[in-house]
Amino acid sequence: MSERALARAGPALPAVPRGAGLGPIVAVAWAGVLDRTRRPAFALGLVFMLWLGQHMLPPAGSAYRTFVMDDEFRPLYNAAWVGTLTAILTGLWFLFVGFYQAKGSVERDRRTGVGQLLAASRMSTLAYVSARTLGNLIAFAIQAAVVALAALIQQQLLAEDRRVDLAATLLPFLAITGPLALFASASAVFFDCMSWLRGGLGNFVWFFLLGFLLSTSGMQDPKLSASRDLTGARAVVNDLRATLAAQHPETTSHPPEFSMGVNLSAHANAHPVKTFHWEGTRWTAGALASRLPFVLGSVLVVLAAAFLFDRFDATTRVRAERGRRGARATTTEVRLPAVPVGQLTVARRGAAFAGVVRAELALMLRAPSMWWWLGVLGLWIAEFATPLSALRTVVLPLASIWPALLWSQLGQRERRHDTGPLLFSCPRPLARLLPGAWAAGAIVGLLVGAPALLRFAFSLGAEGSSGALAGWLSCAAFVPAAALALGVWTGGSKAFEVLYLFAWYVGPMHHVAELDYTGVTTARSPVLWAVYLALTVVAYALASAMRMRQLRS
Amino acid sequence: MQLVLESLGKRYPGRGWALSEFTLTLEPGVTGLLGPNGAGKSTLMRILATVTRPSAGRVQWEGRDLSREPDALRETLGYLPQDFGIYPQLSALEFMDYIAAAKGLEPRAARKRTLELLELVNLGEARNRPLGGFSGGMRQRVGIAQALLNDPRVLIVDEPTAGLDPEERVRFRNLLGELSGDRIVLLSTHIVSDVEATATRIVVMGLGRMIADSSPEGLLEQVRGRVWELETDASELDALRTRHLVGATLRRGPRVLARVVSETAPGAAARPAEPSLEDAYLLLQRAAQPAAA
Repeated sequence: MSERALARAGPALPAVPRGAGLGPIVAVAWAGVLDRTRRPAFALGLVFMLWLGQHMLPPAGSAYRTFVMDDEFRPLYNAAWVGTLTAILTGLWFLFVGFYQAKGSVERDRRTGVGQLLAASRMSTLAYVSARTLGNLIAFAIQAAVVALAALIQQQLLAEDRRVDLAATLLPFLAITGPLALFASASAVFFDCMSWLRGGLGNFVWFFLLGFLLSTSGMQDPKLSASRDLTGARAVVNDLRATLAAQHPETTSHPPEFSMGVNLSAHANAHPVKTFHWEGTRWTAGALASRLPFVLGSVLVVLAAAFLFDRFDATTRVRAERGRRGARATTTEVRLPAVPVGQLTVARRGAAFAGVVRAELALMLRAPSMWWWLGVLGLWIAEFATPLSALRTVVLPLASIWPALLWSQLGQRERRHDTGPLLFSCPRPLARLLPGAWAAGAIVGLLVGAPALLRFAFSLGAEGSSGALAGWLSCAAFVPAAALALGVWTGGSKAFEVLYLFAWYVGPMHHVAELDYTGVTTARSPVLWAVYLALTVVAYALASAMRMRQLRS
Repeated sequence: MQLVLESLGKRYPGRGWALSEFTLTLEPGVTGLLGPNGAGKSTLMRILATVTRPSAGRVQWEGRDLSREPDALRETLGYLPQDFGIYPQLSALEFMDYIAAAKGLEPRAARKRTLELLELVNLGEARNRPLGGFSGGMRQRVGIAQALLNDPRVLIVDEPTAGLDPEERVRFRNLLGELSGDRIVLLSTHIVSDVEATATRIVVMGLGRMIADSSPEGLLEQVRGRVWELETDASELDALRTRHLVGATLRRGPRVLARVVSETAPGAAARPAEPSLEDAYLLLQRAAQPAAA
């Protein structure tokens, strides 16, 4: 080896000028956009949005209807209506799904340590929070742009009115979708900045908050203040009503009623829906100003997030973790080992599968606070005290949501806490650890519904008791299996939490038999029993398959 | 007792080969695995710990192929990964109970051993505190304790002294020395002094390949007579680096005492010096670098 080969020159690095103005905000925002758009969930979400957009505009003669006024009319598929309906749907998507996709960017910075770097930089907290909001907004804007382009194409494919009017198609995206995207972006960052909202509890809180906001936005009430029209749909509906009443004075209801959603009709072909011509909402300065409160509200949310954000200071978290157990921080002294290495007790293999289940159960039940246990106590009292019918239709549906945040940890804990290398190098991780986690989840389900199970068991003669008993047992098996599958496949808890919330709201709470995974609110058909049994097996098999892949990576 | 690695290779999609043509037979004693960041040490450790499958070659434990029978080694494996997490809401004791259950150990004896191990790594008093409040060094010590839980015959430790203070580092080195008797211990690090203190055999890696497999004495012989000490002005150090391989430096006011690895004396004032493992390591790494570097 020559002397020259050993030589290594070290060129001086050039000094980098400091970023000024909006530069750092845009840079952090753009990094967030790149991070989000490169995740499979972004593309998947976009594909689903396009699919949904296409199916919400059924061509004439379709077997279903999505938007009907006075039970027989809908607007002609022209530039205005295709653009407006797609814009409303896109906005709702951002509220219901986009929020959950956007949530987590600040937490990711915390987990990866990037937050520490940013916290130590000159960037202000407000600038950081604004950058994260802007990043979310840009990602939403990219999705909205693709959907808007698809709307233009779809108008041509539907061929009811092919006149291109870019303003009529695109303005609704600006006026309706824009404020919703901003609100969802800002709220996602706000939830991320609050320690108690950044986890699974925040996912639940958003769901109920959204339900409340939408229920008070008064879609069916034309006289309500525009400042409460969160989705912007009411202004559109009012305009549609006026147009329909003018073109078809024979409409039976005044103002004409409307329904929105997938409406399957066996006679749809026999009674095709009539169309009327609608030129679209005139987005005057006044109409645009009615959307301003939601933009200003979003700005306030950003300001509140910046004010309350801990700027990645771990003090609060450590204090909370110490406080939970009432332990004090002490400095450990360095001492010589009490037992020489060679004389340590040797622990032989010998624990049964029950040991793994016990350990998984202990891990699951260590997470909830005292309030969670008080809730369980309240549920137990209600399960003992309420009549059987109320137990089935009210108490058990509520009980089924209570352990959701414990179930959502299944399958993803190893990735979230990075304990995979420790656990996957233990013997038989697939044959012991995975079923152990599922069994612990099932036991939690049985625990929460234990008094109800006892009552059903002691009143098997009563109507529906045996079905409810079997239903809750199947629920305790199915939900942890589903949580395990979603946790292992997605590596996070969000997918389960969001899907479970929707299923819970539609199934057990509204007694829709097909989605009532608890099997207690309505009588299940044999086919449905078979479906849930198959779903349980498939979910567990999917979890196993993915875990096996992880072990063989 | 042998752990045999035959032509091992690992290819990551889009990143090429992180490890290639790696052949080695491990026997009882401490084997130090030295290499810079990105040399493939952690990939090798993960393969041996059965958490990653090799793309080529195979690993045999007592004659059994680990790709087909990973549990053969897992039963008796202790593994401390370079990066690992804990469950923050659990105490050290509870976490060890959890790992003991995962390893399938008899609970009562495992609890007794856990208490002894926590004392051994100096966490006896902190055993009931939640791990979320532990410092990096304390977490690392929990990692060391869990790796020893099942009295492993094969102990794989990846950068075990990262985050430990100097006193704890010395204690850990001593612990490894005590453990090594009838066990295979594979210690991966880029800190030469950790290996120097404990290893009876040293494997040096670079760019995913083995570049040396020798005893510490053998490595020292390779560099004997090529190590020099030279005192120079601090301002001339950069110039010296452009001409020679410069190792450790020691500030002495405006002057610097530099260790130089060179076939010939790097200057008239240069004095021959006793070689160290660090000198040998630097020379091996430099020799293994592609010519373009």
